[in-house]
Parts: sequence; structure tokens; C-alpha cells
Amino acid sequence: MERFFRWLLGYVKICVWGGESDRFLNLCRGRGISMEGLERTENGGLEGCVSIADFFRLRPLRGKTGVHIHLKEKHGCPFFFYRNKKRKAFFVGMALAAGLTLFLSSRVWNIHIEGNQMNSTGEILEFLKEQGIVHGMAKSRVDASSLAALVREEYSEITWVSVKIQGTRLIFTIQEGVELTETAEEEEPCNLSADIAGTVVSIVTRTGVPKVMAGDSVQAGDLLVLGRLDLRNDDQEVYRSEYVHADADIYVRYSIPYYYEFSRTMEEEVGTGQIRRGIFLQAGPWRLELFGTRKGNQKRTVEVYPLRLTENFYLPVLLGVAATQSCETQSFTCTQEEARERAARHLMEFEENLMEKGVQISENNVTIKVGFTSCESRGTLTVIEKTGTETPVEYVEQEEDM
Amino acid sequence: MNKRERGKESVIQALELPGDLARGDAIVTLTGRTKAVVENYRGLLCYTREEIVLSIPGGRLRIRGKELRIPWYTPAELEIGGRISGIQMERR
Repeated sequence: MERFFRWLLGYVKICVWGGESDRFLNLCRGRGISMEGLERTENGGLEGCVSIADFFRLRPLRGKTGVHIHLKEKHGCPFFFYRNKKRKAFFVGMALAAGLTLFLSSRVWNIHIEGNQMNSTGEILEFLKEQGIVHGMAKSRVDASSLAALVREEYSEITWVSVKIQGTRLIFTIQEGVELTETAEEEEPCNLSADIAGTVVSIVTRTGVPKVMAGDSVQAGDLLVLGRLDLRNDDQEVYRSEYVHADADIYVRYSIPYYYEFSRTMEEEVGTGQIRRGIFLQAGPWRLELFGTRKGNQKRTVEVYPLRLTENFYLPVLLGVAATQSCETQSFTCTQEEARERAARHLMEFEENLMEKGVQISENNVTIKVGFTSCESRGTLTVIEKTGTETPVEYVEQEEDM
Repeated sequence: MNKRERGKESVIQALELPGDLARGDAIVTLTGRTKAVVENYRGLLCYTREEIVLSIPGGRLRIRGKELRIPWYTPAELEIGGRISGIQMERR
């Protein structure tokens, strides 16, 4: 850093000979003049570097000691600017570069969101866009605390948000938690009805009167648990009814048809020829490509990297690397094993989707048939699923005791 | 050492003052055989490629060697570089 400031202010290399050079050095010290790189030359002279300001103060010392001072070299920013004073475009360019850097550093060019799992980054970015938080906005307009409050208010799953600006990055650190559902102080009385048709496998009633038992067949809409408790007297007559919020775990077994067919003849794009790589620059919607345009029968793979000057100083420019290759469509017939494998994979994905929704698969009666031109998967899946939707309970008029 | 100097010395020792501040002693820092930094010197008496003589409080400092040069020369301190063969202190 000292060397940089020395160059910035400028210095000269002088050669001092003749007279009283030792006394000259002492006089320099007495007047606060510092020198650097002092060295005796072979002919008895003295060479060293001194700043420009101090050089102009050497005249009286030269007179007192009778030395001769010869200017050998000039270094530093002032000499550089003087030598290039006619190159106006250079200085304009420097000023523009400095202004551009200053402008770019005052804006947000990267919005980084981390810690989110339930809400996707794209969704949160869309919400921020609606609030006026976009790439390229001024950093001074960002109010971190109010932004954090807005995000917490919009997404109930987010329990903690931290918003900070580092360089040209706006960083959201999110912590998600379990959403607290509001439970009503008094639950309204209701029945439980079936929403799917099937055979009841098990029923565990916590509140209400069960109307079905294991092994019964039910249709969609059938009453499973009654939310009315009939209180009977000694004569088994209903004298009063209590209405409750029916609650039970009811599992129903039913069958799902499954059918999947695909052709064994497939088309695939196969690369032919050499892979040509090129780079491009992208700023917003504009792209500057440094290679030829893509033709109809070419396939292109693109990787994009954001440019940054430092760890947190992101620029609004993306550097892209594209690999282009000519390709042609070739058709081929998959083997029996490949067809069977593809059919099995599709069935497995179907079953995984069901299991993600909480459905248990009891039996798998799907058969895979591979023909000459196509492959067919047909059959049924027997599944067990929890059922029971709340339906309004029917209020019965109660006769008053006389 | 006369009475006045003895009294001054005893005060310095009693208060545990640093010597360079209290007495204005010169400080010589030698790093290996190639670098020496001298602080609190009064002046440069002689400078050649084989010998540098400095005036310090209480005497002179003589530094001998080969290809001696002065990378830094400021009013407060100076740095001596080169192949230093000896440092000698001479009392006044």
C-alpha cells in the first residue's frame, strides 16, 4: 500500500555528486526530507529516490553543500498523466469505468434465497417482484426489516426470516417450521361419510356412533360415523340427543384400474459430427453470441455463469458456454427386456405417487405383455386408503317432558 | 558519571522508563547479516559502500560491511542493507 501511495504522488530518482554529500544527507534529515534506495555509485556519487514535493525543496541544500543534482528517472501518476495528456479518450474511459463501477456497486444484482424447502425459490421471487424487489434496483430502496415482515406475513410456513445486503447481493435466510393450525374452541357437530366406494378394512371410532364395521361395503356418500348420541331411558326410548363432532380412522379397500401402452419403436436424436463450443454474454433479455446461429438440425447445450468481481459483487452480466452439435433423428426398436423394464419403471412411479398421497398398496395384479410393435401393461391395483369427510348432522326435534 | 547524571539514572530506573524515551538512546535492530534499522540517530557522518558512521547520543555507531546501501532514510530512522560484517559503538 505504501508503494501504491508513493507511485500515486510520484517520485524521482536523483544522482548527487561532488560537494559535501554527507552533509547534504544530514541537511535533508534536518528539513524532514526522506529518501529511499540510497546507494553509493562507483564514482563516489549518491543515488536515491525522493518525492516530487521534496525534490523542489532541495535547491537551498544544493547551494549550501555545493553538490550537483541530476534527475535520472521520473515515476508516478503525475508523470503518467502529463505524458498522456493528449489521450483524452483514455481519461474519459477511465472516468466512465469508475462511474460505471460506482453505479453497479450501488444496485442489487443477485437475490439469493436459502433455507426454503416448502416454498420454491421461484415462487418467493415472484412475490418479491410484486413488492417491487427486483434485480437492478437501488440498494438504498431496500428496507430489510419491512421486507422480512412482508415475507413472514405472506408465507405462514416461514417462522424466521433474515434479510441482509452483502455487496450487490440481497440475501434471504429462511427458516421454516410446522404451520400451526387454528383449532376452533368449539367444534361443530358433524357426521363422517365415505368419499370413496369400497370395503371397510378397519374402523377406530373416537367420537360418535359407528354405522359400519370391518367387512362392510360402502359407497361414496354412505354414512360411516353418526355425530348424534341418542340417550335412552329404561324403556329404550330416546329422551335426549347429544350432538358431537364425529372423529374416527376408517380405512377402505378398493381397486384401481391400471393401463399403460407404448410403442416399441422409438425416435432418438443422435449427435453426428464435431461438438463446437462457443461463448456468449447475456444481460437481461439481450444476448451477444460470439459464434454462429443454430440451424434446424443442431442440438445445443448451454451453461450459464453469473459474472462477479468479488464474492458478493455480482454484475448484471451472465457468461454462457454453449456446445452445439449436429444431430439427426434415428428410430430404433427397443428389445423385449428394455420394453419390460420401461413398463415396470412406469408402474413403479405410479405406485410411488399413490404412496406419497398416503395410499397403501395391498395387491398388484398388473401384467406386462410385450408384443412385436408395442408393450402393454394392464391390470388392477388393490389399495387401502383412509376415508371420511365431514358432513352436516341432522338435528332431531326433541319432545319436551311434560 | 557525574552527580546529576546519576540522579537522572536513578529516577529513570525507579520509574522504569524506557531508555530510548528517557535518555534518547539510539535503538539498533539487526536482522541477520543483511539488514539493520537504526532509530534515534543524530546524523550521518560518513557513508561509503564499506562503512557507515552515524552520530548517536553518547557517541558514534560504526557499521562495516560490503555493498552497504540505505533503503530507507528518514528523519526518525534509517535502514541499512548489504553484507554487514560488524557493528561498533564508540563512546564520546
